[in-house]
Amino acid sequence: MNDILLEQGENTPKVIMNQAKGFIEFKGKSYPENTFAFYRPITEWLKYYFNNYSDKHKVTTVNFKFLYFNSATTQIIFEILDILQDSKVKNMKIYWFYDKDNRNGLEDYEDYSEEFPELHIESKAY
Amino acid sequence: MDNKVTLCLAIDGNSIYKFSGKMNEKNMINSANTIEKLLISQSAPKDKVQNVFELFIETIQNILNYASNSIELSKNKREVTCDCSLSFFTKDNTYILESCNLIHKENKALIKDRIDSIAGLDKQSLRKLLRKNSRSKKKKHNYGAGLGYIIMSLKSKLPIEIEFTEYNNTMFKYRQKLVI
Repeated sequence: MNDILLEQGENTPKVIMNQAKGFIEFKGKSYPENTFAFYRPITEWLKYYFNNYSDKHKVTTVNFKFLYFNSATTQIIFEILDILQDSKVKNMKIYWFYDKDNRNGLEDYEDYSEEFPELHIESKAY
Repeated sequence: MDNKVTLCLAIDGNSIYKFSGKMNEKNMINSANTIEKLLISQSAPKDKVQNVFELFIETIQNILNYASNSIELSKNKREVTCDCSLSFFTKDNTYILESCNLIHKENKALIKDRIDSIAGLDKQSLRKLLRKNSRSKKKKHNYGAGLGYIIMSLKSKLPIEIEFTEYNNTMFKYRQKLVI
């Protein structure tokens, strides 16, 4: 499986998925015209990554650094969190970054962390 | 088909942005960025900028997906003739996002049902519904999950206003007004 590195587009986020480092990050705006087509390789990568997670001591870090996202991306974030939760991987650090001057970011964090309590998502205000 | 949906909207003196013509992904990105810069230049609070930006995107992506005169330019790329305008009222620091486009007759009931199903829900109920519908496997990956209207309602100050006017035997003019 190849790593994924997508540079930030006008309406798509920067995506880093590095298997060796166990590092996954989404950064920027996300409102592609066909959101599901854009994210399909990403969700497939995640499923493969966690299905082949042999080193139980390895730590995986997932950073969500979205600025704006559309309703279809909301569905995708839930799908990604479902994949993370279903993986049962214990050594995982998940961070939700949000602008402290924007209450929407905190509310989004509250919704995701309440929906996925087992993932222990942490918030990081900037 | 008449491609001029224009004149659906009365642009008043408070209008700070308007678009009338062929909307596609490129124009949507340009318009959204213009609106974002405009609001930042007005020193609008960050959550207000985000709400206006996101609701503009939801509105346009709904139009691209559902308008009766939407043309598929290439895979996942659509174009449609529509009107939209953004007005600002300093008195109560409110933005009004209006749009108008043509829809097929059968979509009238669909849109009305979706709006009716969320009418009267408070913010907590809308957030709960958004979470529930976002995780609904059977609706996943369909354009028609209805999440857009929930987000519009969640981020608007007042209920979504809609209006249908018969255009011909098969189509309606669909107007939508969001108070943000």
